[in-house]
Amino acid sequence: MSRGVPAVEDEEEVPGSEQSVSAPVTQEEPERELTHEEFDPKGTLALILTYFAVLAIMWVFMYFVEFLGNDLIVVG
Amino acid sequence: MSGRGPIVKTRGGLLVAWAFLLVFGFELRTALGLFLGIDVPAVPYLGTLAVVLTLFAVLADFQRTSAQGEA
Amino acid sequence: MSVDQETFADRYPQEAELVRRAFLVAFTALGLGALFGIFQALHRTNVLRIIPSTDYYTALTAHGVLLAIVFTIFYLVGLYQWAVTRSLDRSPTNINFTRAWLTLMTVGSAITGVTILLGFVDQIGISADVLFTFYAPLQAHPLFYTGLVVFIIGTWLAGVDWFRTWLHWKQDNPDERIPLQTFMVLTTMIMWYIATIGVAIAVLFFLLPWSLGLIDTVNPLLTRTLFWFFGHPVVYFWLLPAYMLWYTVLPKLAGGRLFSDPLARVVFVLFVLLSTPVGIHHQYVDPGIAEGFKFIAMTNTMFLLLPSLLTAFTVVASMEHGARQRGGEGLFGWLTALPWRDPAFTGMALAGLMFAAGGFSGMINAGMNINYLIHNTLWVPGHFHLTVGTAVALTMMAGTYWLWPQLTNRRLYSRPIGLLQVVMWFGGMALMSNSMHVAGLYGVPRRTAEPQYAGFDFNTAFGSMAELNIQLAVGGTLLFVSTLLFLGNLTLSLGNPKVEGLGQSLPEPLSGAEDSPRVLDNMRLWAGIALVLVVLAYVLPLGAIIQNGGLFGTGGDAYPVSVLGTFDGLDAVLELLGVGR
Repeated sequence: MSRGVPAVEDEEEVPGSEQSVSAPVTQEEPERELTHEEFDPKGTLALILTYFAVLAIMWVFMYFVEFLGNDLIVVG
Repeated sequence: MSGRGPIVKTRGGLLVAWAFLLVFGFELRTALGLFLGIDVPAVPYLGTLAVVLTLFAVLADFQRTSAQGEA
Repeated sequence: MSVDQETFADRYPQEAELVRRAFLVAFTALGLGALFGIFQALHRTNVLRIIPSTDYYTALTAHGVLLAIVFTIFYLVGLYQWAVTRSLDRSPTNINFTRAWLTLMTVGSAITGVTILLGFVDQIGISADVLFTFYAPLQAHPLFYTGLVVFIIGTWLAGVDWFRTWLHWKQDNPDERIPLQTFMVLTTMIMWYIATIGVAIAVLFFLLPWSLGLIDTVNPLLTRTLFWFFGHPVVYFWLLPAYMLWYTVLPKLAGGRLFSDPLARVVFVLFVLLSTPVGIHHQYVDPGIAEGFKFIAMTNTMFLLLPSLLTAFTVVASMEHGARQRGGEGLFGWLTALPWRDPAFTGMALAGLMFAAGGFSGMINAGMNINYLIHNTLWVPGHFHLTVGTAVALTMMAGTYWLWPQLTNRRLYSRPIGLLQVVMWFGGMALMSNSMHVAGLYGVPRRTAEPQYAGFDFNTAFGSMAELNIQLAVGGTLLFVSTLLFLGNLTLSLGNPKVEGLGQSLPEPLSGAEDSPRVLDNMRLWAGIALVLVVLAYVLPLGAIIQNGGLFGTGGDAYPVSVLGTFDGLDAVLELLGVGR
């Protein structure tokens, strides 16, 4: 499954957005550039908060497991 | 469907989403079992999960190819 | 950025060859280790028993050593050689020195590896069925320990090589900040030098002479404690190469830039400081170590969570940056804009996701009291197959998809198979590790060939043991197939023609090194503080152990692990070596 050299492209819209060598040739290029000031990682915050919520709930269950009778099952 | 376009744009992305949702659904059974004591029978649940997700995957792929056909 | 950018192999052909050689050893170990893995998965679940149960520990030792020592560390040295050469844009001071340490490592692992494998051959009285941890009084053939010593010396010399390259670069670039990848290499190696003190002392002064019959007994608690002095930081020796890939390569794969270079430096410095003074958290159940020391190890371990949580933030933020540059929008919708067809990206992303779960089970292990729930159960392998088995191994495989073309100037044989491989690893590991965690909670033991007992059933909260066994076997099989796909894909890639244009650059971080305090680059300071912390954590416990049990223990027999029928293994060994008794 060899491929030759990809066709030479025009100057990329986003500097430094060269295609990953393990990506498919048809992979889309980045559309825009986000500078440090323009980028606010809200999505990351959402994911991290979700992770922490999962951890917090797990730790609450750990309280039941560890200190209240050592049963693995909390309800039922 | 809204004008947002197909749910998945690539087959590779579809594969990853399918595998992720399968694993998530599978782990849900463990959470239900260990935390709530609900014993969800394995074969019916996982079998149904796999079939449903595969069905969704096929439909999503069909949606993808027809959207590409129109584009 | 020209499309015809030269690759690493073009610019540094000799170094590329050495990286390929390191990867060759790594992947050979991976294949062999995976083979033993499937044997174990099928054996302990009673699905299929190919080897006799008396050989289970041979398989288990081979699996552990080949995967957790040979595969991971050879990959590390290959990756780090690439990273140093690339980021300093400089060849090693003396490439023959580089060849020498790589050869030492190879010879050492071969000696140890063969010694372990000879455990399958009963006619030869050489074996090392001592498991990855080689706890006394289990005693291996002296060649096992010798190979390990040679291997570790090789890694020490690798560090010397990289420090030397950096110091020469520093002379030519006196006011510049250390490039991030080299910074990561140097901090990792400082941690490694400190970490290997423990295992070097254990092996050189106790276990090796003991196996040669030069000393009669060892203090098992002492040698265990010295092992775990090393045993915890070794997991960061596995993890930090994966972190290097996540910090410096993954943002590029995602189409973005690293969110923060300074934060990455802080993370690696924290690992230098905190990796070693926590080893006793692997010994919560050991008698002879006071609870106070265990408590200190526990609190240090809780601090050690911090750099991994920082990493979660920085890496996900960098991925989000890439996704949004690619047009992704919404609070969660940006996830769909990521390049999921790129097996290098997907492998690393799924590895990171699984690491989050592994981190949770690690927090359980770290809690001294909760640890008792899962000590010596199958939960523990469940945990580490998520961490070293996925976060590290899957990232290393994914990283190879990206790196290999730049090392060989040949395209990967099949990108779709690469994608299938990483997804299959994710699925297989989810199945296997889940079953291990659950079985561990039910009390199923680890390191056991036949955990099926007459007149006793494990109490399951849901499902059944039969189900869990099938799950483990199926998961293990998927992992084995995935490994074959990986190795096959790489092997077939060698048949592709050489082409041009495979060069890759790495983008600048959003927040660069110049935004961070210079003190971060002060290697001596961090090494010094790390040593102080290690002394504080270990002097008193080690002192107490030696005071109570003596340097060489209070007596007892070695348990040589050769199964030779009527022979005593140790005598056979000594006879073979020509050492009189």
